[in-house]
Amino acid sequence: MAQQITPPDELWWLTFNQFLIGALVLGTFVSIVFAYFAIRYWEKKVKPNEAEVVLGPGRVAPGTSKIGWTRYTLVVTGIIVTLLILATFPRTDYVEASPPETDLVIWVTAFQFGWEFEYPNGKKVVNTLVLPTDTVVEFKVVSRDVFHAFGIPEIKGAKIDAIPGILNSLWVKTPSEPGELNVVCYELCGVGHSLMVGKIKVVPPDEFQAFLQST
Amino acid sequence: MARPQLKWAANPPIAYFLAWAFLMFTALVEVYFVAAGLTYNTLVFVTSVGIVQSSVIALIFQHLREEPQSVKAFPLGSLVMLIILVSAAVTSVLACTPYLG
Amino acid sequence: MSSLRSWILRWLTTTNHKDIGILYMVTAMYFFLVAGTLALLFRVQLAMPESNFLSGKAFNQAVTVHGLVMLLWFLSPIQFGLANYFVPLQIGARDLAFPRLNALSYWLYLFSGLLLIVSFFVPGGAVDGGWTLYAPLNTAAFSPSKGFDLAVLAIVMLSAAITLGTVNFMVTIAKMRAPGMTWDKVPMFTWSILFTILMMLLAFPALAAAGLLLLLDRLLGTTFFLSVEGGALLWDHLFWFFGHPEVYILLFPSLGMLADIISSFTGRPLYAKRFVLVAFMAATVLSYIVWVHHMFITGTSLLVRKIFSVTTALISIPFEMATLALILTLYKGRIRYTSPMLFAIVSIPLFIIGGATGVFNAAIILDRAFRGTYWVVAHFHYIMAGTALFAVIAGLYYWFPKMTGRMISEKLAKIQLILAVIGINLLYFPQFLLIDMPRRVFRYDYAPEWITLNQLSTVGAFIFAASFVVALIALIHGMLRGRPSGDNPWGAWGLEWLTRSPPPPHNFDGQPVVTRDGRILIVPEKTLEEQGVDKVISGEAKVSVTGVMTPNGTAGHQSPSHAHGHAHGHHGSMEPMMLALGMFVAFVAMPLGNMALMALGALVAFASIAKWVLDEYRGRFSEPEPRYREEFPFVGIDKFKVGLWTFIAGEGFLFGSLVGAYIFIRTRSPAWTPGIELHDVAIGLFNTVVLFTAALAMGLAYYNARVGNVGLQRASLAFALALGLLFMFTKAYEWSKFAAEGYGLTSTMEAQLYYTLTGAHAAHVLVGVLASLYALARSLRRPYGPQDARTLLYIGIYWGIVDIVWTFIFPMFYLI
Repeated sequence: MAQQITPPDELWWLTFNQFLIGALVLGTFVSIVFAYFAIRYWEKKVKPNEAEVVLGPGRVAPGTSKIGWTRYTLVVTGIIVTLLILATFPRTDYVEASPPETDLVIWVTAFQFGWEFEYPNGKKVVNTLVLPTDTVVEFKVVSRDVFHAFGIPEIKGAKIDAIPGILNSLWVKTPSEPGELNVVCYELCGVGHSLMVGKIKVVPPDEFQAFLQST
Repeated sequence: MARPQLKWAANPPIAYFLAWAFLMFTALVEVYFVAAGLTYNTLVFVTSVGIVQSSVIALIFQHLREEPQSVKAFPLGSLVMLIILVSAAVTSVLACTPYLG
Repeated sequence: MSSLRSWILRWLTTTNHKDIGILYMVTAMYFFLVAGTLALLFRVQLAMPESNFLSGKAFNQAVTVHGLVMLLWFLSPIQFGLANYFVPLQIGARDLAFPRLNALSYWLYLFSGLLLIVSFFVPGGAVDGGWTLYAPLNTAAFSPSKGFDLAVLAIVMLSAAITLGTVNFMVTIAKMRAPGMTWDKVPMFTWSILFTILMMLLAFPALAAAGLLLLLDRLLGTTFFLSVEGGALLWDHLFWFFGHPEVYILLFPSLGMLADIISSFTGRPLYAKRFVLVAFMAATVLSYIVWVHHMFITGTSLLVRKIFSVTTALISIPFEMATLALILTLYKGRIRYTSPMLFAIVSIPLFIIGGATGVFNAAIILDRAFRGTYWVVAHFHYIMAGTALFAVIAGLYYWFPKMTGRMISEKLAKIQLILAVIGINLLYFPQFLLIDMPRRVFRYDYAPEWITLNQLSTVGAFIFAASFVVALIALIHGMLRGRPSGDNPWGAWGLEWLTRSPPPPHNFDGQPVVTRDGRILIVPEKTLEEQGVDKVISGEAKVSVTGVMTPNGTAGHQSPSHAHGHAHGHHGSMEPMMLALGMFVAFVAMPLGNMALMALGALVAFASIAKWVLDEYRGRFSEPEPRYREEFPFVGIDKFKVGLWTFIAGEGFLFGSLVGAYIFIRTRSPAWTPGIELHDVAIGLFNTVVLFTAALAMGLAYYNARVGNVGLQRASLAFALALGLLFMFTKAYEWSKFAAEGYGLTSTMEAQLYYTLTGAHAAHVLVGVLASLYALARSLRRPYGPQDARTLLYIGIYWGIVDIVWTFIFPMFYLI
């Protein structure tokens, strides 16, 4: 089975944390410089010999090209940002491709206003999907009318647009414990957009098999 | 600041007639070649003809050849941006998986 | 009573850039109140997970109109109100290059906004598809409301206003700077407006094209956005090709204001200004190649998405440069924390938060979670309602004394600031944590963990709104009771502070000149004549300066009659307002199917255009271009030519977007009948010949005007006119024949595109025909000579662009 497969949401959190660290380091650095200068050169604090006021009434600000250490900051940021983005590419490839092993393929048809799910054996349900625990599920997502977006808020990165005329796919690994997930539409699709909420019931495999065989 | 005069000595109406004759000729050749199936790649052929004809119109009838770089930059700059728009839109759509169910 | 009438008449007919600037600002504030109220309504709704305060439809209308109005009818216009007022002052010009066109821009803007507001009161109610108006929900099949039609019409009308505005500012900034005001010395606000209009010039035509196609879909039954060949992705591309530059269009003027304000209150020039300008340039170019990051989960080609992921990440670098430059301008300064400076300084940390979270959105894998959630809402509101809006408030308070001659109460401004800072963070920071909550839902009963965060957000919204109530009081109090400010209360640098507050209609009592070492002199034109402008700039000439600063910070003035030779023409013109009003009436009537009202509106609009052309014909509004000015890189080039080429670049993009739509739809169509099998090539070729010959005729008319051959000039113009008409008749015959063969406008995709593109082209031919008609009439009455032959050159350039478009449309529809 699919126990060894890394779930996409794990990669999402890894990437998010990397970006968060990068943003916090750079943001903190810039903010400290900002706060220090904003206080240090306040007219009530600054000593007369420290301020070099060169602009005043009757003058126009010249073009200046002194850049100093700012250029290194830009280069460092450029490198950090580029590395962060390049590091996401293998993970993007992994989550965008079909899963390494697929246990179950579900066709999802979005419509105004609800979700129709179809199991491989042809069984169709509306709005309430039953899935087994700890399973790699691939969703084939299409739309019957307007632009919707299929998303599971409880699983980070489990979201794909449902567009008329286009087939998109998305895969997730279901939780190992039974429980309930939501299916939400993430693109305004009309007056009932807010009510387009479905449920995914995650159940033990034997219970799932029983459900699948029932009519 | 003397206003640079348009060089009329170098631009008698003969230039207009030559450009016009060239446009007529290319238009006929374009239609003949396509209708007779003589082109190797019709899309590339008609696009090339369009670019050549447009350049002649811009240079002669819109007098761009007499303008300084700064004025030439307008059509050239927007042309570059146009190519980006169209090519990105087309390449991005080619890989979508169509679904007509 | 008559004074009231003349007061009203003055505001209706004004063409002065300062009056129009104020009209823009007041109108934008009105739209801000409307959109802000809508925001409060849906924040109240969201305070509870299952509230019945708003219906689903009302909620969707509120979020949609809030978004559209805030972006298109408030933020950009209030920035351009300030630009209208202060760009000419900052560069030492007397007005914008085309004052009546400027008035037309304003009135089109006002009435387009009213069109959107009116849409609340028509059958079906206001537009409710989200501000991005995604297809195919935006088609009549899914959203039949008449208000939706009005919203699309409003967007198209606004695009027209903005295109005219870009032409105006381009020519003004490029060609009307005071002597010595070289590019290096141009203030950052004016620079930022220049970059902004460069983006507007190419972005808004894409929106206009999308809007026009959508109108055809909605009103005439085509299926561009309903069919699977075009549909959702076609809209996405066109809309976001506009939409992403639009983000920077909203941000740039604010960054420019911040730079000027911060350097004023520190006494330091903007740090590394030249690098900031390079950064702005880079961001302008990059802004066109990041739009696909709005489409990361649409299933678009992964390679294309990765390229756009990199460009999106890289665009953060220019903005980091700008942020660091703003911060380092504080270094070695003497910071005076006045109210404008406080708002400016607070916008920097807001920008750091909004900017840093923007980098996250560049990652495709992360965007899978962010897309369509409150994370995105929080991110861009930190930039828009944070940085951009705070900078606009800073700008308003900075320049308020110049506009009114009175000061804003510092106490009220500080109360406002405190409320605004608490409000905005309480409003938007919780939304980062609502990372899983979908946008635009009016109930979320399935996720109780979102309730508290939403309630915090709603409380923040009301605190933030309270800050604007204080702002309104501060503005009104300042205007009526504010302490007199004098001419330069801030001790600020720049040309705008070397004139009276408020400035006289002609702006400066003399000709401003900037010396090479950056001093500003306001000198009489006579001095420039006697001493030579170059010597004044280099500082060699001895000049009697009128604009010196007296120790108490006010400019010494010479009486205006001595100061400048010619009085500034104070032309009132009713036509811009009537033209926009006529369009408004016609557009309101269009979706309602009221033919009589539509005809009335069209009549008013056409009569206004006719009156305008008649004034032009009689030379009523000819205003001499300034004698002394910086105009690099357009030295010696007529302002109309610069304007015309700017306009043509925009037109090129309109057609480019339509051609892009054609290629897009055709690429995705499973089967396509080649044009050569569908259309009569002979007719197409005939029209090709006709158009090319018309270009020749216009060339000959121009030549004969230059050499003074009146007979041939008139004959050439008559020939060009006849050819234009021949083209139109042939086109009409061809259309009716094609329709009779069973290919109506709503039949096949091939036919829809054919009518749309050749129709758009024919509309341009029609304008060419009218222009030729005008030229012929003028030539018969008063032949063109060498001195005004350029009019014929410009009509020729216009015919040229019509021909160039045809060289591509012809093979697209008749050959392949």
